[in-house]
Amino acid sequence: MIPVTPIIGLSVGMLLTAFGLALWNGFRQIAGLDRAAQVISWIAGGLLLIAFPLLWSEAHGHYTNALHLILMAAVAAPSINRRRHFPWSDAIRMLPALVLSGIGLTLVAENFRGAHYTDLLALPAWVIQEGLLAQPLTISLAEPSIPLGMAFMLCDGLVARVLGEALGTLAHPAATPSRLFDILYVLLTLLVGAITLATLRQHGVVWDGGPAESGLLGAWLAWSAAWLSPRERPRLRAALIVTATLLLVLLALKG
Amino acid sequence: MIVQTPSASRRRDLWRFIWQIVTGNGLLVTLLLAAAAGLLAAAWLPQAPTADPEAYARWFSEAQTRFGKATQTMQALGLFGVARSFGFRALLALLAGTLLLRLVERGDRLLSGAARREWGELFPLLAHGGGLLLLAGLLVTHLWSWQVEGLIVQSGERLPVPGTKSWVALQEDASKVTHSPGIVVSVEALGPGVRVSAADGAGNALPLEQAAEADLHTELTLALAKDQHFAIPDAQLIVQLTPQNGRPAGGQSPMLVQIYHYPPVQLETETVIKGDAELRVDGVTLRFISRPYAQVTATFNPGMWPTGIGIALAIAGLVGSVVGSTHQPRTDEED
Repeated sequence: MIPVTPIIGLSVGMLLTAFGLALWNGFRQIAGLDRAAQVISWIAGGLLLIAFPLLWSEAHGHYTNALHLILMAAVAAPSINRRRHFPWSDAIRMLPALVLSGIGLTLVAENFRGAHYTDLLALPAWVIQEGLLAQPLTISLAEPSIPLGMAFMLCDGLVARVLGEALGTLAHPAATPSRLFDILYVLLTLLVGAITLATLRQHGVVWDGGPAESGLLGAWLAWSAAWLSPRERPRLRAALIVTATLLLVLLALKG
Repeated sequence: MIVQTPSASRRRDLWRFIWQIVTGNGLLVTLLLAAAAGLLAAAWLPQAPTADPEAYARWFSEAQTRFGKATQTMQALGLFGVARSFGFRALLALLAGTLLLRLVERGDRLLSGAARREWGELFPLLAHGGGLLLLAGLLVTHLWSWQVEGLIVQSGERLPVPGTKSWVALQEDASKVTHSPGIVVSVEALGPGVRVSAADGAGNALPLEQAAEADLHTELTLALAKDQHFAIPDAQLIVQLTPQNGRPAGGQSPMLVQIYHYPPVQLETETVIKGDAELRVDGVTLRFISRPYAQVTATFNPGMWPTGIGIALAIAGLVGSVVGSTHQPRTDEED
């Protein structure tokens, strides 16, 4: 079996190096430093993506907090070449990937101690079960089904990237974020809408007051507020996006 | 010629200012953030159960251990019952009012020709209309819906929902829950159950007693949601049935049968059975016929349809609005 901890450790080291180079570029703008930081961040992201399935198989299909964190960091790590560079903003954009992979490494090194397990593979998909329970559609946020879990994983991955972009905008308002926030908002809206409609069909009420449902609805409302916030005030908008994304990260880790 | 006095003009400006505030994004963003804060508080803080006094007592004791002296203050602020609190309901009412005014404003702009008559302009209207319909559905739910939790129905049984004309039934083979029209029934748990009877050596039915001083029956139907006991007074036997809850607990789950003789109480035999079975003890034949049970929640919600249509419209409107906004030309730098 390929040991996963050294791979994650190497990625964290590379992300730290990329972050250091980006910071150095902020102080003294040396030609090529930003390019080097970018290449290193891509390699770190690639290594984290390799670590993800290895970690999954080591966890025997359990979707752990460490997996959450590694996936988020893997998607957030690669920094994209932009036409205009904002050195401080570029450095800060790398922070979420660095922090998340660092915490992920700590959890993996502790050999999953204290990690929250959700037995994803042992659970049924969006099923209208045959025989017993013929009528209800089984959707539970506490024990997500596989497609629902996959959708949440996709959101997880993109959330950290949006967080990085928003932090970059906070550092330098001219460094406008990409359309990723809008894409993620659409994805979240569809996800929350599907869950509420399914809950309505299954339980006859739109919201049964469970903590997972309340948290998801609350986070979605925060995302809606961020989406509605004025684009002409990028710092305020970025602050709202940071709040909304942090809420989703916390919810994902709370399980 | 109409000449406006300065005070009339000022008044008009004031109304216009108020109109801009209530139909602007700022107020909606603030209300959405406040509602988000409420829901997140509900997610992080343990919410007090209302239906079950035992569960409430347990919750209260846990809350006092966790929050200490702050419990009373937090309770007074409605943090342990966010969805039921006046503040949260007032917030939803304000949100509905804001959505209505924004819908009027956008509709007026579209009809008066101030906004371009394009398909893209319809999406915000859909989102606002959907949101309003959803909130109206929630109001109808709050006013006229009812929910009965923890109903236990056994296979082949048709159970009236207490206090209503509705009923719930579990088919003979426990394959399907059926119910009267107009209600939604969700299955919370499934488990084993039995119909039990006893006969002496000559084949005569022996009376069974579920509790001291209780009526005697020749047949008992028991749902094993918890341990069950019954006595066979004529044979001086007590029978205890314990569900063997492996995961998942299904209708055909095994159960432990322990049979005691009295007095003095001493264990005669114990065995694990699954499905139909027959046991013989001290010349008494016990016949167990499997009767699985389902624990269900029955809900009547006249606001279900408006809520569902509202959600669908709001999703379509929001997704259309976001996609429409991303197609607008950008002047700033793109990644």
